[in-house]
Amino acid sequence: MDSNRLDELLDLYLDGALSPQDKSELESILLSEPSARDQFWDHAKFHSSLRLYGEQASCKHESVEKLLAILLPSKDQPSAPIVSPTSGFPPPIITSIIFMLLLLVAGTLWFTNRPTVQPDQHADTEFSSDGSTTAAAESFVGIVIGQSSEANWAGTSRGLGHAIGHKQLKLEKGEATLQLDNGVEIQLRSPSELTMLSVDHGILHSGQLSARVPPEAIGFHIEAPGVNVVDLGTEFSLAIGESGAPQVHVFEGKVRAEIADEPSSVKELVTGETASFESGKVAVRFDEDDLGEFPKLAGDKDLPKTFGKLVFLRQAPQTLINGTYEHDSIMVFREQQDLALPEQLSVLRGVTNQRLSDEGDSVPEYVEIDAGTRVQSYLVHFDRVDARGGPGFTAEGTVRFKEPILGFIVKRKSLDRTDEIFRHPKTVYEQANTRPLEMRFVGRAHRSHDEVYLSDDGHELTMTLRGGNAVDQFRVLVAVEGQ
Amino acid sequence: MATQDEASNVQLLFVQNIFVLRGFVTALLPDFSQVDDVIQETFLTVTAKANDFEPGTNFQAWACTIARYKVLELTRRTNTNVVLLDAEVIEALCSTPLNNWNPESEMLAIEKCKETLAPQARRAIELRYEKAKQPPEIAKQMGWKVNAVNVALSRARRVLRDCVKRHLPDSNMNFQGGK
Repeated sequence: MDSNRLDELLDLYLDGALSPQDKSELESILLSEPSARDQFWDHAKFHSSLRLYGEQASCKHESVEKLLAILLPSKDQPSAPIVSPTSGFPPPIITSIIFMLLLLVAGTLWFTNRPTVQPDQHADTEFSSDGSTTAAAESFVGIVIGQSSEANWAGTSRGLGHAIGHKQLKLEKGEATLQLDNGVEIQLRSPSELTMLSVDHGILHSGQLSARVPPEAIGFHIEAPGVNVVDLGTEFSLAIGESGAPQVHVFEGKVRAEIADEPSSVKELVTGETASFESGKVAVRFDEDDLGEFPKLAGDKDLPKTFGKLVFLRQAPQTLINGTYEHDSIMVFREQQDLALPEQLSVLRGVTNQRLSDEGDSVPEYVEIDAGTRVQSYLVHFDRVDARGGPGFTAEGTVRFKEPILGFIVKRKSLDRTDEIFRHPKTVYEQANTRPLEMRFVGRAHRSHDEVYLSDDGHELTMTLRGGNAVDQFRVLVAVEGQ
Repeated sequence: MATQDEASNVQLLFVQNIFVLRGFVTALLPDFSQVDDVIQETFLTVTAKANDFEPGTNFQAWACTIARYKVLELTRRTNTNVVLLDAEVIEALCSTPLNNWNPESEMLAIEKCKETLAPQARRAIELRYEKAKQPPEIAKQMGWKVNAVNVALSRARRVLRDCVKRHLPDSNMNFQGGK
């Protein structure tokens, strides 16, 4: 069974877009494969959860607990049926009320009585008292997206472009920037030891870190010897020295911090405040001279924005050889910041989606970029985990550039040829002839094709890359500011 | 004719299984506005036929089959052009036991994960699931082709599922591929 094809058919089915041929194919798969029926229900349940969420997001109901008491008989008290089977169907208005209650049971309790998501619920690992973790090694929470030139990692930590799992990270020299899957960015300054239990929850055993937490990740928290910090929408720093009290500084926003096991010590700190935490004593000060003590995350407003399973590496990686990176994210990095084209180049633009091309309206559009045009170049690289063998894996993500995208280079020969023009001097490039995307119009495409969309405004690329035994790569050329 | 005890029993089972039933009917009907009508009629029929249900047997499969007939009735009555799977396929699907589905946890995770979507994808998801629009209406509203909307929805759902999976490590969702 082609799982990706089944995914595609189920998506079409859920949106009412199955053709008669697709329907026959889907039915045949569902009848013959028990695992396909499980996959059907996975999709159907998630589709329904999305609808329940959508209903609640668009229409918040009043609390219904008191109505539930009427609807649901208690365990020790038998009750009459809501609708008597002997009394015929009730009037429509009554049944409507009954079903409003039923649907409230099904779909609205979470809004009126929603549980707080505890970060620990997200952790799929056990943290023992000696600081070791027993998480599955293949479970990842983020990627190292940048590091200083002198950065040196110890133990199993592997640095730029590599995954962050639940194992303890040890940064012996330099600084590094981590991006977690919930969008949190962490700047780690050596010597530091950090364990991420989940995307929401980490333990800083020693050293210094700063964290920038986007609104959707509020609640992110870091434990450290002697202090716990919970983000309330902010950029903050935490420093644990070999001696002396732990320090918390807020660059922007607000955090809640407390001495571990001393609830009365809890303090809310706001922009510019620094607090030191010692048993029984919290000292808060406001002193700009403190700033140099804490690692500072670089500004990101001019960097490409990424969404989904796609990360932007702040530096070019050392190597792009197949099998180097053990995670399942697409990576993008800048090769050249401002380069005048030595020759005219033909690049691809427009829709590159195989499904759309069935309608005959997605003939790829090639455009010429004149010699001398100044461009930035970026390389997209996808090398999924466990690439040798096993089922395919799909990653989807979007990258948005500040300047307009001029086009992208997909074909192998064009990629190879333009490597010489755009390659980053410190990166070893993959040379295998299987490196380009598999798309209908750039070679022999099959059902596991890759897709790349260019948005109407020309600034955003959305891609679906299906990992196989080879890497997937393509090059994106972007205008230079002011060009 | 079902007794009051039998009716109470199936109604309680109905409430206990309502997420699954609603998920099933939602999967059958692209037009979300019809889902509650079908659930309502299924409930009434389940109540009326309560004496047909043998306690201890698979309530989900039984109610699911009734719901499917209600979908068929509705589509005939309203002349809706819905592509329904064959009865044999529905029967096979209804016999598949569903365990450990926790929509509440999924909804909480969806709330967080929605923020990770690109703006256009988020818009498409909001129109589909919050505004209950079907792809042709979404296409008009966003100035896209219908196929582009289908692709965008498919892609956005996958991103959300992956994200929800990360938030729910014990999730029962069986994603394909993976790490």
